[in-house]
Amino acid sequence: MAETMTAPPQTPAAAPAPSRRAKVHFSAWDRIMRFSDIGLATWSIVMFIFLYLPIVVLIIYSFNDQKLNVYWTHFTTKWYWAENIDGGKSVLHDPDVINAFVTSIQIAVLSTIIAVVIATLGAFALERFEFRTKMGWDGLNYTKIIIAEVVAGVSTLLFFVQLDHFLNKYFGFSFGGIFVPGFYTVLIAHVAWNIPFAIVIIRARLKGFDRAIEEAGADLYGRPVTVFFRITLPIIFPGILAASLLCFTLSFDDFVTTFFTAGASITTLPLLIWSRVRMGITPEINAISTFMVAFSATIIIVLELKARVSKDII
Amino acid sequence: MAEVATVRAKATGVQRVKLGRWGGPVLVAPMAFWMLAFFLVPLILILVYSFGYQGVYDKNVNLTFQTVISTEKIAYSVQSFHWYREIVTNPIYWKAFWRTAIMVFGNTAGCLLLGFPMAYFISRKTGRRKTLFLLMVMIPFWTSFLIRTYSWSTVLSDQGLLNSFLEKLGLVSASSPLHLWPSSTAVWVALIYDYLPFMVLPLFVSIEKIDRSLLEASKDLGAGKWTTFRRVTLPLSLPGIMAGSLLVAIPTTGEFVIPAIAGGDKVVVWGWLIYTNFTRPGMWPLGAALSNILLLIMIIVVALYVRSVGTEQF
Repeated sequence: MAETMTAPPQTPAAAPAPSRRAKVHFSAWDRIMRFSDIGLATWSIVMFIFLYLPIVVLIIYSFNDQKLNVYWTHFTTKWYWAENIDGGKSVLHDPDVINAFVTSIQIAVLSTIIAVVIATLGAFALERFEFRTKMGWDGLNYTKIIIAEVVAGVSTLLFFVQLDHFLNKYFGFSFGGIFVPGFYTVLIAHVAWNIPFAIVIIRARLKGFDRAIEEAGADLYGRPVTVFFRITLPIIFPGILAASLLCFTLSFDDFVTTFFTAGASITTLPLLIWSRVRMGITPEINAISTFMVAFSATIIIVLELKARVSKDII
Repeated sequence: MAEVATVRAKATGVQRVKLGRWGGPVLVAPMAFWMLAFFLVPLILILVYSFGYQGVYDKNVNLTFQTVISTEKIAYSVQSFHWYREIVTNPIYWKAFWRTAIMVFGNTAGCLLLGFPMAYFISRKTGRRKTLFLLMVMIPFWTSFLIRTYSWSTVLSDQGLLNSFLEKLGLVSASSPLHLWPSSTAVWVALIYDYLPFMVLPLFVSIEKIDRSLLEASKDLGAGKWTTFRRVTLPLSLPGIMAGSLLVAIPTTGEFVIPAIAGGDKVVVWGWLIYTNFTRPGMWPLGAALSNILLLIMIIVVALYVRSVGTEQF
C-alpha cells in the first residue's frame, strides 16, 4: 500500500531536483548503505550462527564416542544411559546427577506453585484496585527484576543465617532449622525470584481483558468471589499457565540465587554443573547440559508460540 | 455513568463496596510480605552488616562498633567504616572497579553494535519468519547463563573446535595451540554472547513500532538511506536502545559466573570479589560492603534512567 501511495512523480519538471538533492544529501555513507539489505541479512545470519554455534557443538560432543572432546569418532548415546563406561558414569547411572535432578524438580515445582498463587492475587490487586502503596510494590518488583542477582543472593544468604541465629538466641527455637541454608532457604529465595516475573505476565493478561464480561457477571448478582472464580480466572488462565511454565524454567535453570542460599547440604543440577565444570570438560557435563538446554528450549518454544510471553516481558 | 455505577453497587450489595476498599491491600498482602521479608529486609540487613565484623570460625556477623582487642580476632576487628576504608585504600579494589566499568561499557556497546542490525532485520520480517527469528532470540534469552558460558569451552579450549580448525589450516601446531580457555578473551566472547539477546529483544520491540511511512517520507524528501537511518530510525529507536542498555549494563555489574568459568578465576571483577568473599569464612562483611557499593551504583544509574526516560519502557 505504501508503495503505491508514495511513488514520486516522474514529471520532467521535477527532473532537475533529484540531481541537486544528490549533491546535498547523498554522502559516502548513503552510497554504502545501498547495499544495506544484503549486509543486514548477512550480518544477522552470522550473528544467529554465533548465537547457536557453541550450543550446537556442545550437543554434538555429547553424542561423541570419545572421552576428550578432541575429534569426532562416532555417534553414541553412552554418556546418557550406558551401564558401564570405563573411567566414568553415564548421566542415568550417576546417583549425584539423579539426586540433583530430583532436588531441582522439587524446588522448581514448589516454588512455581507458591509464586504463581501469590502473584495471581498480587497482579489482580495491582491491576484492578487503587490503593496508596501500589506504586511502592510495583517499584519493588521491578527492582527485583533488574537488580544484579548476586546482590539479592548474598543479602538473602546473610538474612537467613542471621534469622536462624536470632531465633535460636532470643526464642530458643528456629522452626526446626528451616532457615539454615538448605532446601527451604533455596525454595523461599526462588519464590521471591519468581514472583515479579509471574506478576508481569499475569498483569498483561488482566490488561487485555474486556471488563464488561466481569461487570455482566456482577450485574447478574454474582458475588465478587463468584465472579472471580467463574469469569476472571478462566479468562486469565492461559496467562497463569504461561507464568507457571516461565517460573519453572527460571527456577530450574537458576544458578546464582541457588548458589548462595543452598549451603552445603543440597545440590541442584546447575550447582552440580558448576562444581564439575571447574574440574574440566567431560562428555557427561555436555550430556547434562544438553538435557537442560533441551528442557528449557521446549518450554520456551511452547510459551512463545502459544502465549507470546516476549510481548509481556519486554 | 454515575447512575449506572450506583445502580450496580446497589444491585451487587455491600460486599462489592467493601472489596473495593480493602480488596487491593488484602490481595497484595502475600506478595508484599514475601518481597519485603525476603528481598527488601535482606537488602537493609546487608547494609547494616557491612559495618560489622565476623570471626573466622563464626557464621554470624557481629555488630560491634567498638574496637575488639582480643588478639585472636585482631585481623577482623573492625569499627564501622573499616571495610569501606579497606576498599577505598586498597588498589586491588580500584583495579577491579575500573575493570568492571570497562566490562560493563564494553559489553553494552558490543551488544548494541552487534545486536542493532539483528533487531532491525527481524523487525522487517513478517509472519512465520518473524516468529521463527524471534524464537531464535528468545531461547537463549531464557536459557541458563551457566550452560551458555560453559558451552564456549567446546569451541575455545586447547582441543576445541577453533584450534582444530586452525590446525587444519596449518596456522597453529597441535603442540602449541592458542590458549583461549580460560582467558580474558573468552570472558569477552562469553559476555557478549550471553547478553546479546537482552539487547536484541527490547531493540526489536521499539524498532517494530516505528511507522514505516515515516521512512517513506524521508526517502521522498530526498534523504539517502544513511541520512534516513541517522535522522529517523535511530532517534525513534532510542527508547529500545536505552531499555536494552539498562538490561545489559545492570546485570553485568554483578557478573561473576562468566569471569569465574571463562576467565578461570583470573579476571578479577566486582561481582567476582563479592562471590569470593562470601565463600571465604570471616570475609562476609567485606563482601557485604562490596555488594552495597554495587547496589548504590545500580540505584544511581536506574534513578538517572527513570528520570530521563520514565518507567514506561519496562
